[in-house]
Amino acid sequence: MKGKGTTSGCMLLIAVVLTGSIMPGVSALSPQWVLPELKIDESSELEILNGELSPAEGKNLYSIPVGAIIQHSSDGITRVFTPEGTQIISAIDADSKKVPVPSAGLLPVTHVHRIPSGSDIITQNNITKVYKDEVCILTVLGYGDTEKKLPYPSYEGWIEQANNWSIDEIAQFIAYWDVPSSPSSQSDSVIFLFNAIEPSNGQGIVQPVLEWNRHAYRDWTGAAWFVPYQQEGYYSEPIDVDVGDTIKGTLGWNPGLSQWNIIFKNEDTGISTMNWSGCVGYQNDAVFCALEGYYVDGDSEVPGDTTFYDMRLKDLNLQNVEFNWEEDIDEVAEGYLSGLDVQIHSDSMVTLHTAN
Amino acid sequence: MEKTTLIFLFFATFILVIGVLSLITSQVTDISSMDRRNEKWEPPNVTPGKQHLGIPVWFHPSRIEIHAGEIKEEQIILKTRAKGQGLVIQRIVPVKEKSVNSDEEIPMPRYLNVSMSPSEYVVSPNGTYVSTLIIYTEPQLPEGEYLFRVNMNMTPVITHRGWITVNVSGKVNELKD
Repeated sequence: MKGKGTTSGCMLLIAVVLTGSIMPGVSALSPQWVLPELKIDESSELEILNGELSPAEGKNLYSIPVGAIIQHSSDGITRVFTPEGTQIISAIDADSKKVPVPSAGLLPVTHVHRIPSGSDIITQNNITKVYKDEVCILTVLGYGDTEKKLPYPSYEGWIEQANNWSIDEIAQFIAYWDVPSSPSSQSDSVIFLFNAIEPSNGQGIVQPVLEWNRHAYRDWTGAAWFVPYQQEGYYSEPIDVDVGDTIKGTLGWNPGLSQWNIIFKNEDTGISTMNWSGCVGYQNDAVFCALEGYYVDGDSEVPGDTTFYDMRLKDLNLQNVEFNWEEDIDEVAEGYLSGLDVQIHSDSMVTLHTAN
Repeated sequence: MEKTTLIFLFFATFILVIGVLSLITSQVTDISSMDRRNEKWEPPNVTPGKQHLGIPVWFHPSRIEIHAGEIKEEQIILKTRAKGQGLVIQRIVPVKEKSVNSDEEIPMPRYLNVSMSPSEYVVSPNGTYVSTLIIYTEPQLPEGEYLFRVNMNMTPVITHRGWITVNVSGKVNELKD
């Protein structure tokens, strides 16, 4: 059985996301579409929604009548009306539950709508209509482009990785990689590249980390990190590295101390930095080669391809660990970045591709 | 030229030189602030690996060998670890290619049916949940590799995507003969 990683992602929704508000009598903007007069009920209590507004029924949905009209206002309120224009709910966008939407990040459920497969979506100006079998099942009224737009949060997390979640015993994990081309000099993203060991119970992670914009302003550094679960982590004195330098990341189990020795070494300068771990054992572990990013908005904010090579995984008897790498690319990251790919050449060589 | 004019010109030149030097100095300071040891810059407080700890993990086979006419069951294991809880929805669909850039699905091949049971269930943290992948084939199913994509969603934001290849070789009856 192969181990498979997980990714933070989003549900399979078809999102109709509109930004903008519109006043009652909006039909004048779109003469082909005659809308009823929307009777706004200012006295109605504002609600906080946990399910997507949808003409369909199902779990995690807030069902609204077929043919309902959704109106987004620039004041952050979403109102739903019957097809005749009577208000049936008003909800606060900011406080409603957020769900991830590809290429858009986290959006409030008031702005994400599941529609039946095969529906036609037609947009004119700020009005979107959804048709199923030639019947209008949903109308969404947005606010104008000149008004407030919903924030599009940056991507944060593991972008892509090679992993194996089923390592019975490991006492040494060495990997080499060359410092890739840098993200754009204008980028404020934070990038991490590392090989790592994590116990299957997730109580911590040990990792020699190549860092971009973490300990040097828009530049590369390296440090040995130990991060216990729900803590900020402990890192060694960062050292400088440059594009093209060869990095050796070493994770070595010390049986006497029952700790991992984490070493980040710049092979070009001969300088290394080292740390010790706790709470990560040598049995029932997962191993990774990963690209992680924060404040990432596009391809210019990630580094070039990175190849981890000459990787050696050994057990306590210094015998090779038998395993296979599995690839895992985050589905949400794919909404921000193109060209992602995990190429597994062999047990000892993996390339994490980006568009750069 | 009068002495006062000379003095005025001297001071004017002096002030000009001071001004230019000051401008150059400030530019140099700005450039140095871009350096890796910029003292004005506050390192972002993000920790590598932290977000990953405790997320749930799915295990499933990547390849299944089967003969036409055979029915096979495989386990899908979900370890919820510390962060996994809520409603899980699992889905398996035939696809043309293994590509992260393509969501294109194709119809289920004739004489073959692949499903997961249960397709929905509720989970709690630090648990292990086993569901069943069922591969049903009829004798008429042609030999070859059939590719499937599995999507596993845990409400609200955790998902897993993977691929399973079903390799059909020979027929059950022929093998018995």
